[in-house]
Amino acid sequence: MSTESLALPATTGTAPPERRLAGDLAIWVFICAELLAFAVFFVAYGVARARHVDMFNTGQLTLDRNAGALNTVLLITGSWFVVQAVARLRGGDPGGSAGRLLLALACGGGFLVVKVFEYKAKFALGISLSTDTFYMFYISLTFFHLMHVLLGMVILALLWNSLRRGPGPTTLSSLESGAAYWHMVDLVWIILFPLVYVMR
Amino acid sequence: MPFQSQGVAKYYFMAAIALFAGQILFGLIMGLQYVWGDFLFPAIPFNVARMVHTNLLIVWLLFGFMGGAYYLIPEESETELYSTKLAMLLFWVFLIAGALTIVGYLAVPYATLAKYTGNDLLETMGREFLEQPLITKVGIVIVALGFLFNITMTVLKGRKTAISTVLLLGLWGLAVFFLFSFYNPVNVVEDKFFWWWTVHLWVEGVWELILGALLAFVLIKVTGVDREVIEKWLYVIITLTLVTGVIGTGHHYFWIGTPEYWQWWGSIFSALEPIPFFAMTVFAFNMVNRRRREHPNRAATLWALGTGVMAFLGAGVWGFLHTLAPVNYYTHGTQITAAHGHMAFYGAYAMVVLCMISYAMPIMRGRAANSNKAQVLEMWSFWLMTIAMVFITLFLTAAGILQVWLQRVSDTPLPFMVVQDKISLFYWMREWTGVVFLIGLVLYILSFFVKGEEQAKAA
Amino acid sequence: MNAPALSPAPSPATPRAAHLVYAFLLAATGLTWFLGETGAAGPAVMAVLMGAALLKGLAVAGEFMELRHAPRLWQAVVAGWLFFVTGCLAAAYLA
Repeated sequence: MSTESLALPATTGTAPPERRLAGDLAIWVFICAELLAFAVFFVAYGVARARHVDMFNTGQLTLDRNAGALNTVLLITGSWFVVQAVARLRGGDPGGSAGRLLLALACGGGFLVVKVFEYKAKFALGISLSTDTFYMFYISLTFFHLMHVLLGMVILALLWNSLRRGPGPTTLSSLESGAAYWHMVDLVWIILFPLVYVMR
Repeated sequence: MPFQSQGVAKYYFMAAIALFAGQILFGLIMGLQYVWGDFLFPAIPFNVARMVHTNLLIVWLLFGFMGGAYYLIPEESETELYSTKLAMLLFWVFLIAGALTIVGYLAVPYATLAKYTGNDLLETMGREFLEQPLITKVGIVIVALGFLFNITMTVLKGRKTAISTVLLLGLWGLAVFFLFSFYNPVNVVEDKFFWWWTVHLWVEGVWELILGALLAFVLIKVTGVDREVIEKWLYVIITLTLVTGVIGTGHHYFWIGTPEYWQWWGSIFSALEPIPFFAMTVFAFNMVNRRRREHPNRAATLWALGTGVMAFLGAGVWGFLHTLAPVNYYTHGTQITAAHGHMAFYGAYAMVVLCMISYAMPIMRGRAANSNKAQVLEMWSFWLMTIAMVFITLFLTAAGILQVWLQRVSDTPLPFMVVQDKISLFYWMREWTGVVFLIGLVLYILSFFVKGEEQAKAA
Repeated sequence: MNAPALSPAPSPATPRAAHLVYAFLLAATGLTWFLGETGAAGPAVMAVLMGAALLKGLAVAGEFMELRHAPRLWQAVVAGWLFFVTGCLAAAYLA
């Protein structure tokens, strides 16, 4: 249980000993910080929307909901593969685990492709950060999230590489940490999609 | 001390402390000028005192960072410094250039200084914190390049660790972003826009990497906690720092003529800047609680914990106070900013340099730690300076709140100077607290000269 | 059902619950997309959308991120985040 080396002292008294956090404490601290960042962004969006309901509703209608929904499917499918990758490594099958990571990476790649086409269509219309507050949020939020998808893909690629070269004693803990991060990226999009693309 | 060449750090540290003392003296002078307008006029006008106060701060911290790097890098790399001679040469160059610059500020009017130092060749002077004459700026670049060459070569020939990598990243970033001090567009919006690339990206970007690396190094040494654990935290902290700090630059772009989205970006990301500082505090306390050895240098441990807490309060909490655009609309450029600046610089950077000095200096003088007597004195100085700084910050915050209220929020706003008169009580209290800070500093310097009976064994 | 998954001993297959969660996530995404396509609007639709997002988030956190087996404090942090964010958004919508 590698997380033990990072555990904060004496806060675990209430939890039964067999409960454990999948992944390293450091990555969870990081995830919390990320969630906080997105929470601030989401709440700011909500407040700004409340002040300009018409502007937000008009802007939202111009967004490509199909692209948004497709990207949701790609992300949750990627997460599903990552879950399988963790299970396979626990089951002593690093090869199968690496394969599932590749599939997850492919989903991430698909997300990027869809996003690029979506942005291209918007920028072709001359839409920018300064168009209005709605588009400012649309571009900022989705771009900030996109950076997280990219970082998640880098992490998955590194994990894939270390699985391919043969797992060591810390590989499972690393995989769990990377998986938790990838799921966090998914979790954020699950809020972002209905909020920015659908809710009116 | 495992490597002979680490000894060069001693010179840098001594210079740093001497300049620190100078900074505090000029701080007291200008603190008094707040309430006694023509004190020392015309010999030292307020604007000159302010320039000397802030420039000395930057220079002594740079001396501290360089000394810290010269001490840390050989030990982390497990090899002697690439060139001890170069390190000593650059030390004298930097010290003499720095001293001449200060003399220039004090001896001749600023415009004359600008004329004699070639400011018309490339106009870089006259901007807050970057007031240095062109030749000084060029000198800083040369010293920085030589210094970076020296330590980078040392790292390359030796062991590469996460701590030395982060430190190198921070120091290279420091040099790269200083280059924007040479870029001075005529357009005032662009001027300010890129001015912050030096000023903000130093203190809320790359300097934090240096802070993290120095702190991690001292914590490894005094706690004996596994390197892997400390490195993991270091990576988390620097990632958070860079994401929040770099985009957080936007909190300076609210009112200078940049597009509106900066108000959102700046507010949102800089609101998150306390997080890495909070992580640093948790990290420091966590490591000390799980220490595997009782290091005889308790003073260094105290500084390490202190820098975590004070950086979080000063940079994190006091930064957050006025970082949101709707709040900053009222507080911009008031004493609230001064309050934040004082505690943030002390908590984050002054304290981490003092922490490094506290850890390394006894070892360079042939002992693991100072005598008990010297350490007790040093801890007294820690508490005096730290508590004084807390009160300076509180008084300035109170002054700032009143200022915002009387001068900006009020239905019948008062003129600037009238308000300054009304809040002079807080300036007096700040000045007296500054004297306490100076006493703390004097005790700190004295602690180097206290001999003790029970000297710990040589390291 | 908890006990085997908690032990560090290898459990070869992906837990069945993960597949169920995946199916649920797909279905809920379909619902969100459908509501968007029909142009449905109003507080009731907002409640359905935020409710679906909340449930999806809880499913991802519980099953995928394995918080179901994690110390309660961590469950509370992530679930609290979900409730806080969806709650704030709903409140801002109604405001």
